[in-house]
Amino acid sequence: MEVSRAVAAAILNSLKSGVVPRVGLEYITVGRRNEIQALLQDVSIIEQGGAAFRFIEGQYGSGKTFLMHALRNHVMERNFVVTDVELSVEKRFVGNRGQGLATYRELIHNMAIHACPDCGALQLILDKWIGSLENEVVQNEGLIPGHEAFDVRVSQKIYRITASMEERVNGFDFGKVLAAYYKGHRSGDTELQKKALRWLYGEYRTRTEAKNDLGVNLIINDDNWYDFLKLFSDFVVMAGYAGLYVCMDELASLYEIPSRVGREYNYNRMLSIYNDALQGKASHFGIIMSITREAMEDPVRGVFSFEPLRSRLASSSYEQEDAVRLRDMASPIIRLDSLNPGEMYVLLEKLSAIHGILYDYTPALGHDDYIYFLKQQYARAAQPESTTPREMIRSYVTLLNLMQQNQDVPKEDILYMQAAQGN
Amino acid sequence: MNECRYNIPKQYKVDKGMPLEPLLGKIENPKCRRIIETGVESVKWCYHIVDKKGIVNVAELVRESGLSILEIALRRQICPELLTEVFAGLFQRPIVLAYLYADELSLGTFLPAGNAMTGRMCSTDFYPRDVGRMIDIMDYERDTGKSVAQMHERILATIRQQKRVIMIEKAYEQINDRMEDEILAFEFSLENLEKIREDSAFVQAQLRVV
Repeated sequence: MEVSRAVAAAILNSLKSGVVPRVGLEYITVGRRNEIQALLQDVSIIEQGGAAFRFIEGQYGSGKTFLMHALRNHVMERNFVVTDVELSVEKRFVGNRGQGLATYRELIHNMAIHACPDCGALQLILDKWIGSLENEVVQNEGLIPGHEAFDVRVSQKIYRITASMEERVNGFDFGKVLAAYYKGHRSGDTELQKKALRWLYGEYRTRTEAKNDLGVNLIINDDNWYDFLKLFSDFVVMAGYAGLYVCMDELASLYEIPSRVGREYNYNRMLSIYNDALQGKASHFGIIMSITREAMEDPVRGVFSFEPLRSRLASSSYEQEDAVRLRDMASPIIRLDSLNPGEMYVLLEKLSAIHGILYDYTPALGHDDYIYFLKQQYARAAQPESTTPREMIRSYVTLLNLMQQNQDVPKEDILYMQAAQGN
Repeated sequence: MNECRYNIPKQYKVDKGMPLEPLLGKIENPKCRRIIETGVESVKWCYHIVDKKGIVNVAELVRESGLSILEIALRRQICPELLTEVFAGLFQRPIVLAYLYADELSLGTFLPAGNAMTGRMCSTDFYPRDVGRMIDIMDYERDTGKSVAQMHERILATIRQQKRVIMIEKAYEQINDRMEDEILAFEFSLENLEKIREDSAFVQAQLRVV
């Protein structure tokens, strides 16, 4: 296994804390072959100008976020702009205290690209866009920066692109703001650039302010933010990227909205997004959302309580329950089962190897030890199928730490002691 | 005289510990006596149900024939059927026995017929003391206006029913355990693990962008 010590540390520290690592996920991906194949198929479609929308459904700790992050990292390497948000009480699709706009802001702040993999890539995307157009002028037309025609040619290219966006909903103002950003870049007016960025981040509160600063009649708000995400998906393609990939985690927070009306507003907005993606209204645009089974299928409060979504998302009679253990991977919902014991075994092997790389030793655990550990973990749970990888992995990393830190103690002592204590 | 829960006039609280030595000394079979001596921690006479109403003190109560409810705390699990046999022989009167061991419970009863030890007896296997499987020895709705003998018949029927349920559950658990063992044997087989490793390597290659 070719894992660097830095990546090994990131993986193990995250897993020990019960969170999904941001890097090195491919080294610990076990199982999920069909699910990943289906999601990669979506990515190909998005690259070719299509759109995709998927829910990942599974219990807490089953690996939904893991799968989303693995995919996020993968598409980022494939020249996508990626962004993610964790929905919560303050961040929803729509709300009476600006929760929709808060979601949008988070998404724009969390934009990431290969060269800027964590977040805050918007400015880099804009600068790279302008830079690539300037390069085109240099290479194709032989003009150099400073030449009197150079700015004119770059401006023409910029305005051709921004004008092409005018046909789209709210595209006129979006294009105008991009043009303002370029204007600031050309004239060295960093204030103007900041204003344009502020507008794109959805931080203007009044139209008057936006009109005065940028000459646009529109601001991004709770009602129109999704249109701007679609505009971004078009724009990033023009800026040289493969598309925009959006990851939304913790969709279960919508299920926890106390009022029925509030939930339905949110489900209704989700329906618009779903329809847009699957009816071909969006392009180069992918959305993936994680949700628990209860939050999806509860007929009273879940997504299925909203009939238009239930009728679109519910399993067909061919794959309902466990009549046949076959899953339609083209369905909008990808259901994650718990990893089976064999898969958990291989995951433990991988974690041992990574732990060995991090601390430069060879973990003394063997075949029987893995089996012993897993049997103990399954036996502890009231329902073995409800035992989640997250809980087991946390226990296992603790076990590895103890064994590495106490190499003079026989491994059996630690393994059996830990199993008895349930840690 | 305190009446206990459900406020059935016929049911009286006794709450009296019974000295074990004289009681167990009556067991004739030495092996059996040894089993009970080492396994039983305490015997407590909890309730006494009698047909006579208006009893004023325990002395009067214990002289009345009726149905005695005893709680037997155990140091280790002993076959409930053996326990019921033994205690039926010792008391030779209508009794309901609740055997308690750790977090588990078993119920037994003896309903004598005639003068000899020819009555009916029944006991359940041990089962976890969870609320879902508790059975009430006294049932106010059903026992109001009934004689002690009728109540004892009803208790016997309830314990039989419980015995059946627990037998089925235990047998089913054994099937599940066997199936689980078979599944785990397959899951941890070298062939299966090798296939999972190959799948994992494939996915890893898919996720890597070169």
